Amino acid sequence: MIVFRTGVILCALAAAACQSNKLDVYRKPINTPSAALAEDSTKASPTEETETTESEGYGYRLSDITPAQRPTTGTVEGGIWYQADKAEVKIARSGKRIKDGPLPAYVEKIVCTLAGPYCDDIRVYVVRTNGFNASMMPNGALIVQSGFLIRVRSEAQLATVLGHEIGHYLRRHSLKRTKDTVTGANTAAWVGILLGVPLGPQVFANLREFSRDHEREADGYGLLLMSRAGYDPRQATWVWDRLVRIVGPEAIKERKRYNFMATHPTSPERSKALRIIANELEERGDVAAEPIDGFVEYQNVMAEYRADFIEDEIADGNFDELERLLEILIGDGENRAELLFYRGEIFRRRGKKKDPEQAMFAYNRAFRAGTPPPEIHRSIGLIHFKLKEFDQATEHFAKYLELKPDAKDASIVKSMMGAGT
Amino acid sequence: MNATTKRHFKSGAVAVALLLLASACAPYQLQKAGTNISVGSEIKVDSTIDWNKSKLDAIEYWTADGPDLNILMFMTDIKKKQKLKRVSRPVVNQQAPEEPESKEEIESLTEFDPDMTPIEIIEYVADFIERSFKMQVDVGTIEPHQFADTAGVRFQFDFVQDNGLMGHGVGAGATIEEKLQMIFFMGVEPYYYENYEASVEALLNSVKRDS
Repeated sequence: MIVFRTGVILCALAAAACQSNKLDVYRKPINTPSAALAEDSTKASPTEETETTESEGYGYRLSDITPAQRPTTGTVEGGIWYQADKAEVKIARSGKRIKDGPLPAYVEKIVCTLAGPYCDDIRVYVVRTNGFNASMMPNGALIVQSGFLIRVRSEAQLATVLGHEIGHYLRRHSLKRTKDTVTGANTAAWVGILLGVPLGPQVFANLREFSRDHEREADGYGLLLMSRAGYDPRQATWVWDRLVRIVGPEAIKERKRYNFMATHPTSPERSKALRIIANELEERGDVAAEPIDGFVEYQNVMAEYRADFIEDEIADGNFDELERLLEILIGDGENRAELLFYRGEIFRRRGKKKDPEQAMFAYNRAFRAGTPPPEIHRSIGLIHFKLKEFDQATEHFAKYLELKPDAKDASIVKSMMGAGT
Repeated sequence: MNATTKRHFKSGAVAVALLLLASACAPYQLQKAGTNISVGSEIKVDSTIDWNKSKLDAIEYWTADGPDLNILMFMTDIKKKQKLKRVSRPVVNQQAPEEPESKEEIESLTEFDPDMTPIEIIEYVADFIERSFKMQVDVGTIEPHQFADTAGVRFQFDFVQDNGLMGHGVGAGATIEEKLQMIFFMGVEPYYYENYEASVEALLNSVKRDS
């Protein structure tokens, strides 16, 4: 029994020590930020390049990148940047890149506020791609996915993830990752990088995945940068709590659904660590008295894009997660009529046994919440049509065409009116 | 290396080489212009031009200039409860092939229902196109269309590929004997859509029941 108790105590101590080490990694950027960001240069992180491995504890003594720095060609890092520059050209001309409307400039403005002296070194690409993710390329190209933008609530939550990505750039995590990925034995890959030979898709994908300690350090930078920019660092915790609710506990537990779940610390670990450090920042007086939330500003910018982003997610057929997401967005309190319409659309498009009733319930809530899009009448008409309730179907189709006389599907909708008579 | 190991190594190398060859070269056949060409079990079409014929997974497609530039797909005999899994996009420009959809992703896809309205059929097909070809699809006109001897639906769409190329698409289909028969064509701008538009229109208007 004594042995068992001793074992339990040792295990608990080991777990506590481990948690403490992890917390130190999250804390490091706040205690010793990169030189360009340090208010007190004596507290800046060392600049000499003396790496230690992850197993030795917190390492990565690679010097920070300095503003406007670009690695010289002929070096490994220069090779990585060359590859990244080529990939960036493809992203820049991608058909999925969002160039129109206020969103790209809005995200760029927040990145600049967070990045401070590094503002000109980071280029933002907002792309229409489903799923919760943003990623930083080694050369400062920051890719922000539409699926991430619809999953966060406010400017402060957006700043959380943008700050995290900027942290990867400042600490040159991709260089460390490259050295881990392209091992010394893989001479061809090294030569490829140095000569600018295109890397295989998998090798390049690996360069964009960082180790868990890199992620913890980037989280620490996220907190540092957002609190300096006037945001509440506790928002970082709320982002990960929100993601857990959206993705669902099963997916979190099994670390699937998104690629980053396999490479990042678990969301509960992040949530807990970030909460502890955010409280420490507050105790130190490093949090603004009236921190920026930016909920209304964010919702206003997103209004122009939200419907398209939700349509993209519906096309992917990930109905369960989308249902949870929409319930959370509805709870946020803005644009409820539109969001309830899309909640109905999930059920109508999924088409399982009880779905038509659930869809109608959501549509009715949408009418009570405000003015939903005209398409709601088409959707209600389609449900009645399938139930062979042709009079009600015709009534709603007529209303749809009255509200949207130039609808591109007017011809087929008209052909369905008056059926059964 | 002993003789047995050598033999195993050789046969393994041959298998890998064949696999690479198979994945590198799509097995195209010439589809000559002609009438009453059977596609699936229920319909036949007339074609005024020659095409290259192949398959993406189980779906027959014809192309004039390569599937990234234009593709005519025959989604025939889609049965009740069938889910449209993403097809393996052809390997072009050294792009990595798509990972197959996970079991959970397939589980959540919409099933075909013979009672689907024409609008729902277009939603079902457009979602498949978006997923398979990794493109933004913007469905335009949807209108009634006589498809073989059945009241069907015709639709047009615009798309933007992830490589930045834009283009148009057109398709038509109907539910015949409880099974969906759908033909659609898409081509990038300029040239690869417009050049074949008239031939595709003629083909879509030529659909007959294959009795």
